[in-house]
Amino acid sequence: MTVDEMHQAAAEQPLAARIRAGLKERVAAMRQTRPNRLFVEVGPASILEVGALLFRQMGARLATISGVDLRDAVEINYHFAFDREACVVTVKTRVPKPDPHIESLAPMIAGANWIEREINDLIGCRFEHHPGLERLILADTWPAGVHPLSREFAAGSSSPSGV
Amino acid sequence: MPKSTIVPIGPYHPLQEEPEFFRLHVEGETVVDMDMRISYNHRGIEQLSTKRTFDQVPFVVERVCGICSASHPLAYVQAVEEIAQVQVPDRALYLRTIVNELERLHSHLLWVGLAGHFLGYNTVFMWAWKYREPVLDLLELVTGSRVNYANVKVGGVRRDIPNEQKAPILRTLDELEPKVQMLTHAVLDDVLLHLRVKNVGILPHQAAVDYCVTGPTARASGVAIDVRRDDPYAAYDRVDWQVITAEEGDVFAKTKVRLLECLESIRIIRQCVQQMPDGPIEQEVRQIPRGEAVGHVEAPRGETFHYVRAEGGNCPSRHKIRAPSFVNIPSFRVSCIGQQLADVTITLASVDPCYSCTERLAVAVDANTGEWRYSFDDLVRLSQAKTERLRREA
Repeated sequence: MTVDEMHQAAAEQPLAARIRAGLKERVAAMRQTRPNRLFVEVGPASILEVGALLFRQMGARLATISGVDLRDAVEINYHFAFDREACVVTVKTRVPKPDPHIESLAPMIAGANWIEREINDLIGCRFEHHPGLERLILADTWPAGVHPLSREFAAGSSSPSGV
Repeated sequence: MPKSTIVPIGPYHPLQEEPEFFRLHVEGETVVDMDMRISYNHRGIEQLSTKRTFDQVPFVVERVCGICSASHPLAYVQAVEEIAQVQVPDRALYLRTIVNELERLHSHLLWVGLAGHFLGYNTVFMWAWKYREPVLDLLELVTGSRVNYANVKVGGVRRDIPNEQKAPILRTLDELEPKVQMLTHAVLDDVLLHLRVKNVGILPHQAAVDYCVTGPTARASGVAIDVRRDDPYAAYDRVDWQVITAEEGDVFAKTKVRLLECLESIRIIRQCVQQMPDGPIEQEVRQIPRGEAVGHVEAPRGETFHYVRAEGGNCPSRHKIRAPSFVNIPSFRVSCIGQQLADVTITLASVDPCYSCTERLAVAVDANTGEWRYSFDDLVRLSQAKTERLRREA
């Protein structure tokens, strides 16, 4: 199969159909920006089902998670790589501020452990039932509740004194 | 209850370029638990990137890591090119492939040399680093620099390879290939090395899947993933090469994968130089519209993953960078626990951890008293002494 044929096969997107069939009404929106990039929006309450379907059942690899501070909410993007199907599926969800929190994927996916700790440090989203949500990036002397990649921090302050 | 000791490695050590801290809990000589701390040297590059224009960011992100200084900018520009829907000219795709494979070649040779040193094989260190020199010379010839190549840009590359440079590149590859083959055989056929690193630091297949590891760390555990093949970019789908895998998951398997990948890299570069089409090397990009995209590239240590978001301004509004060591290093919990202390050095080294990407270090501590027992120097000496003992016994 040539690469063009592979792209075409992917464009018929059995993957998108399988994800929609698995998550059903939990899928709020879905868009395929090109044959090997798929974005899926879900509510934060569905994230464990997303992990179970994509990682456990469909064999995807959790490449990473990225957090984006949107002022009134934190957007959490779970980037799942389907290496055999040549597709990166980004599952997007929003958790409202203040007190952003979402269920942790780390008990299911060992590879989610560090990145969830990083997002907790830098953006301030709490991952519930994480096996050890300790600091990973920030120093022990860094003040609690100050998150350097959050909008509140970026809006003005320099690093807290004494750090 | 057996007495357990904590061996701290790090956070600062003259053998390591950068800080990272491992605490190994040992009972006698056996590692029973470990924990890690990183980020002693966090440079805030994700935030910095949002203060630079889209065409300045490649110069920032190539400084994420001196060794992966072609992979990071390429992952970033691929994401931006997707947002802006840029069609990159064919010649630029080949030029990107050449630089990225030269990078893999020099990185793997550097690792083989260091691994040799950790095991007390300083001849391997000398050879591997000697063969790495012509690769760096080629990078200088092609990009103008031995590190931080400043070559890739949104829409293409900054520097062409003129036709008169093709012959010296191919000649260097022809000279290098038999030497790398010789080194590969010398290392893989060494009976003592089999004794020393086979069945050491095993990362089982299922653990590699659970920890989502990438690159040679995954491929040596039978997880056959490689972004170059699985989600082809640059010109990787237009040349003939193989994904190298091994099943055992031990240090020997990781060594084998890297050495054989060096030979594949030489094949890829040679084909690219020979087949490169004529034409422009960049497509002008005027504006980056609103949007988001991910770009990923197979760096020498594994997949480097970038997420870029644009709000229609001059700078990215969010740029997430995930370097391969960030997912590979946590797997130490599986590969180190149960190991002898003398094997930890090479096990830690076997994923080729990159500290500037992730940050690093290791020390061993008394689990009861909290006293520091071994420095990294001591661990390297312990590792070399084990090789020496096996050599005498062999």
